[in-house]
Amino acid sequence: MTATRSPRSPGGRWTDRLLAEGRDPDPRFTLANERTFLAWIRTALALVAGGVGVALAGDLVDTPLRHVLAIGFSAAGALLAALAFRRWLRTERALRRDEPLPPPALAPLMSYGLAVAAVALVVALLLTR
Amino acid sequence: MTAPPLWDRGAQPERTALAWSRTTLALLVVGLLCVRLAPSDLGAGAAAAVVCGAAALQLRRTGRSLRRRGDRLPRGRRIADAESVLLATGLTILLAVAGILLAV
Repeated sequence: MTATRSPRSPGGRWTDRLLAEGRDPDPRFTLANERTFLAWIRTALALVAGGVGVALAGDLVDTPLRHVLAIGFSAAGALLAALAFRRWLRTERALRRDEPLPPPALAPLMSYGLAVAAVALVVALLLTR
Repeated sequence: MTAPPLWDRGAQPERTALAWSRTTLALLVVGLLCVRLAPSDLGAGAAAAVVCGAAALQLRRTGRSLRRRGDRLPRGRRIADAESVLLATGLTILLAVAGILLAV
């Protein structure tokens, strides 16, 4: 595209822009952070799959509730993906500045959210019967 | 092409690439579920094309990233890849939005 194909980083311009401050940390930490992000993304994808699955489960759950559940699951997946990116960025920046890592706020949120969603799904299934 | 020299015994670059592959597989599965929800044949075809294209792009990035990292790690150069992370986030949000739109 442009003549300045920077050989500086595999992530290109965005990496340089988002991670300008600090020094490069131990690469193993960067890789671990990336894998953690990917695990969260897979979780988000599983939530979206749950939403689409509920939307496809025509006979199991009645209409208004089915829509609400399907949209809720998919929206939770989108939110989780955004939060996963935020967490990746904050962790990477903390690593670069040699600061304490951000607190793991995502995991408890996820547990409570899933518990509520599971109860809602059971209630929905029972109401349909 | 010869394999790059082993950089660390934890095989972290390889595990990271495998994590990317797993994520791409999950993306494919969810994407094809969305295709199943599409209201028309045309919509389904378009959705399938987008999903497969995105998965192919991510797989290519994964392979390239692994090779580049094998090259850069022994030299102590930067390996963070914000663009791939942004792409994965964007694709997941796109699928979620598609799921929401198709559910109604």
